[in-house]
Order: sequence, then structure tokens, then C-alpha cells
Amino acid sequence: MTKVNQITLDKDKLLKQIESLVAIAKKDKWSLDYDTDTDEMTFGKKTMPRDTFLFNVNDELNLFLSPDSTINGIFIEYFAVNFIEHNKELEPVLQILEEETPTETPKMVAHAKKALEQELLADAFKSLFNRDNFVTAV
Amino acid sequence: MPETVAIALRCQNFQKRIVVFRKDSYDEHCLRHPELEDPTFFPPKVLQALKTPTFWVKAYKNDSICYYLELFAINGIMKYVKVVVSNKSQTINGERVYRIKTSFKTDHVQEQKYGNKLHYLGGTTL
Repeated sequence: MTKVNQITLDKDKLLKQIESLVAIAKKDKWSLDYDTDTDEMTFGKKTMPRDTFLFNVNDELNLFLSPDSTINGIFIEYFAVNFIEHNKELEPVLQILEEETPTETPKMVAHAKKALEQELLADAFKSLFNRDNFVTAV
Repeated sequence: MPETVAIALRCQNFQKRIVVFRKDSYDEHCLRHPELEDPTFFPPKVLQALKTPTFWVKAYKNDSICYYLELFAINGIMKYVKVVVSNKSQTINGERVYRIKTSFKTDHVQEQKYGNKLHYLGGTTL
């Protein structure tokens, strides 16, 4: 029988982390990885901690969380065929992540990656801010 | 002589397909989905999702099939095992197999958001 622990996440703690996620990502050396095989995008710790679980935030975003509400990363399924389709301005980022030869300069590449990070953070913050239910189970 | 590919999991699923999880792919996905290193999850729950899934659904705009096994439903909270398998067979170690692309625990069915039909064992389709 699967043992289930119901937990209530700390909304304030989550929102505070999202507000300072750029600093957290830099401190914890988050990496931006795209898996062309599964069309999944991960922006987060290179190795997720053992107690990490996925928490769905909205139609596109999931957070990698620990039970103490620490954010370990962001996870998007169907990144190219769905997320980028809704965020066409981020297409250069997809090309970079797919390791195709970019026509952009390195400065534009860094700018494109930063644009993706900002889009993800804004999306995550808005969705969490408007959410009422923070009960989950692991 | 071609090199033997290390395999983390091999089984026959409910569709009589031989399904494999390459060791190199398994190791890579363990970094993002640490539940794959939990012996109560992998391989038993992944095997169960392949042999007796709660439902399966075509992936959105790609050639994969997603097998979902409901782990629990408590107070409206759902938790599933998701196993994504390529719908195109290939030859690995001289055998025609279907490759697991990834597997993880999730709390929702992403494909449902695109209107993809869920196929339940026993024939019910939603």
C-alpha cells in the first residue's frame, strides 16, 4: 500500500522565492536544459534533491518542490509544441536549446535566455499568487 | 560486433510490446526525477504502469504513448506514475523494442489539456 503524506505548502515562502528566483538560480547554479527527445524543458538544479516532487501550477508550468516548500526548479512538458507556440518571441531560445547554430550574436543569445527566465518567473508568480489551494500529497 | 546497450528495465507491456529503459537514459532522468532512484518506485511502479496502467494517452504532437498509473487519490489530490514510451520500435541488442523516453511521478495529466483521449484498460475511452 502506498504511504501518503498530505502536506500544505507555504504560499508566502513560495512567492518570496519566486520574487528572488534569479538570485536563487544564480546561487544554486541552476541550469536551463531542453530534452529534444521528450520535448521537456527544465530550469533548475542540475541534480534534484531526493525529496523533490512535481507540483502543477498552471496549464504549462510545474515546480520542482521539496516538502518544506523550497523551489528546486521549473519543469515544462511539451515545451516546443505548446509553450513556445504561445510565446513565439521565445523561439530563438528554443533554437539555442536545441543546439542549432544560432544566427544571433552571443549577446542576443544571453538576452534570449534571460527573456525565457523572466517569462517563466512572471508566469509562475502570477499563477501562484492567484492560487488558493496549496495542499498536496507525496 | 555492435556494443551491447546496458538496460535498466525490460518488460512486456499489456499491448504485448517489449519495452526497455536504456541505462544511460535512466541515469540521465534520475537527475531530474529522483523518484527513479527510489526502489519502491523503480522498477515496481513503472512496471505496473506498463503492464496494468489506469489509462494510456497519445502524447501531444509527437510519436509517444503516455502510460499513467494512478498511485492514489486523496481529498481531490491525484498522484500518478507517468511512463512515456516511443510509439516507434527500434532494434536494441538485436531485439525489436519500444524505448522508454522518461518516467516520473506527476499530479496531473498534461495531455488532457490538449483534448487527447484517455484510453482505459477494458475499453472505455474518455
